[in-house]
Amino acid sequence: MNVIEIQNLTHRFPDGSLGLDHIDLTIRAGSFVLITGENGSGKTTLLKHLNGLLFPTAGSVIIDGKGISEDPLHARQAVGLVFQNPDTQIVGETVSEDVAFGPENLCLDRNEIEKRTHDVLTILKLLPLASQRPHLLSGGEKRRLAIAGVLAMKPKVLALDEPFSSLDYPGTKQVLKQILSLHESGHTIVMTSHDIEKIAAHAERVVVMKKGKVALDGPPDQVFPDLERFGVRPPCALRWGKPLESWLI
Amino acid sequence: MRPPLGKAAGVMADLIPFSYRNNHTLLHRYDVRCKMLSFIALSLTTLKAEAFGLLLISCIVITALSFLKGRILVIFYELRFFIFFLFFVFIIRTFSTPGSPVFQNPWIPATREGIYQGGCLFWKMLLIALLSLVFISTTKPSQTKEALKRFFRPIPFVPEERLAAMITLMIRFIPLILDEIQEIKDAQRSRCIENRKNPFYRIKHLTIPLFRGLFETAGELAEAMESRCFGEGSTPMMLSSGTIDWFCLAMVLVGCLLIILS
Ligand SMILES: Nc1ncnc2c1ncn2[C@@H]1O[C@H](COP(=O)(O)OP(=O)(O)O)[C@@H](O)[C@H]1O
Ligand SMILES: [Mg+2]
Repeated sequence: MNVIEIQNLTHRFPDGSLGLDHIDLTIRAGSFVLITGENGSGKTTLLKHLNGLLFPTAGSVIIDGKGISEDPLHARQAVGLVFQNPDTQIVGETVSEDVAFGPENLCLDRNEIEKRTHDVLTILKLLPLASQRPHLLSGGEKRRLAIAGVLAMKPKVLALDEPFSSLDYPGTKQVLKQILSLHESGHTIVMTSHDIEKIAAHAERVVVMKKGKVALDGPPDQVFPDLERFGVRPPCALRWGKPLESWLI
Repeated sequence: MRPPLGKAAGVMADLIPFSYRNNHTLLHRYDVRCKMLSFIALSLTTLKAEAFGLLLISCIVITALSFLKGRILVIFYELRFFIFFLFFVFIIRTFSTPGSPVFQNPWIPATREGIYQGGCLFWKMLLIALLSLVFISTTKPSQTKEALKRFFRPIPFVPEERLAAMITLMIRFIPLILDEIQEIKDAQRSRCIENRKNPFYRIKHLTIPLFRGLFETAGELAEAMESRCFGEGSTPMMLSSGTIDWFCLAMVLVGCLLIILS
C-alpha cells in the first residue's frame, strides 16, 4: 500500500522561482527512503509538501488516502516532520511539555497526552531528562526531543530533514539508532541528506534530486555509482570496492 | 551533573533572571490563579503602603525569595542596573522634595522629607520588581497562559485564546533573541569590531543581522508549530486548586486590606 502518492507536483515560490518541477513519487508504507541532492535541489521544499506546510502549484500530494490541499490537518498528523534546526522547533519550557505540545493541539484528553508523552520519552530514552529545560540539552538530545515531539502525534510517516547536520559522532549514532528502531517498529521513514555516508548502509531506496526534479530513483546499489554526476559524494566504501558498513558497528 | 552543552547560546539564555526555573517548592505548587491574584494584590498594596506596611511586605518577599535557593546573589547582580537607576531616582527625590534640610554646614540641598519619600519609592519599586521576579521564576509560562485565558474568558469581545497564546509566545521568544544577540556579537568581536569606536556603526551592524535572523527564526518557529497542528483549540491545561490555595489567597488579601486601611 502506498502511504504517499505524489503526482506531477510542481511548486512555484511567490517570487516566481521554480522550487519543484513535475515530481512523481510514490512511497510504500513501511519503507525507508533517502532523498539526496546538492544544496538548493529542493529536498526541504519537497518535505514541506508532505506535511501540508506548502501546497502544490500544480499536481497533487496524497497522504494516506487524502489530498493535502483538502485536509492539511490530516497530513500534519499522518506525517511527522522533523526540521533541520532543532532549536526553532522546541516550544515547551520543559522536555515533557514540549512533547505534549502536539497532542494538546490535537485536543486529546489529558490522560492520553500524559500516557503518550511518557511512552515516547521512554522510546527515545529521554525520560531522565523529562523536567529539564530543552535549551540546555546536547545536540543529539535536542534532535531526539524533536523526533519525540512529532512521534507523540502517532504519525505513520516520519520525515526527517538533514537529521545528522551539526551532530558529533555520538550524537549521530544516538539519532541513527533511534531512526532505525522506529523503522523496525513499522514507521515509514523519509529522510533527506546531502551527505549520505552515515545512512548509506540502511536506506532501501534512494531518490536523487537536482534543480527541483527527480534525477534518479532506485535501490542503493543502482543509484550510488552515478551519484557523483548530481553533486553528491558516493560512500567511501564504494570507492575502495568494499561493502557498505553501518555507523552503528 | 550534566556538562553545559549546546551553543554558547543556551548558557546566555540560562542567565536571564526573569525566566521559569523548574522545581517543586510550595510556591511552584501554589495554584497559578491564586498565585497571580496574590501577587497582583501584593503589588498594588506595595504602591499604597507606608513604612510599616512595606516592612511587612518585605518579610513576605524575603520569604518568597528564599524559595529560589542559591539564586539570590545572581538575581541582585542581574538587577544591578535597575537598582542603580532606582538609586538615581532616590537622589533626585531627596533633593527635589521641599522640607527641612538635613545638612546645614556644609550645606547640601537634601531634605528629611525627601530622604523619607525617596527611600519609600526606592523600596517600593524594588519590592515590585522582586515580586514579579518570584512569580515568573516559579510559574510555567503554560500555566500563566491558562490562567490568563480563564481570567479573560468572561470579558466579552476579547479573543482570550489568541491573546494568551500571544503572551506566551513572547515569553518563549526572549531566550531566542538573547541567544541571537550573543552569537552575532561574538562573531563580530572575532572580526575585531571593537576597533571601531563609532557607536552608530556598531549598532547598525548589530541590529541589521539581528532582525534578519529574528524574522528567519520566527518564521521557522511558526512553521514548526504549524506542522504540529498548532491552532486555536487545544487541550486545556488542568489547574487544580485545593482549600489550601484559597486559604493562602484569603490570607494575602486580608493582609493587604489591613495594610492599606492601617
Ligand atoms: N520561500 C522561498 N522563496 C523563494 N525561493 C525559495 C524559498 N524557499 C526556498 N527557495 C529556493 O528553492 C530552492 C530549493 O530549496 P530547498 O528545498 O531548501 O533545497 P535543499 O533543501 O535541497 O537544500 C533553493 O534554490 C532556494 O533558494
Ligand atoms: Mg534543505
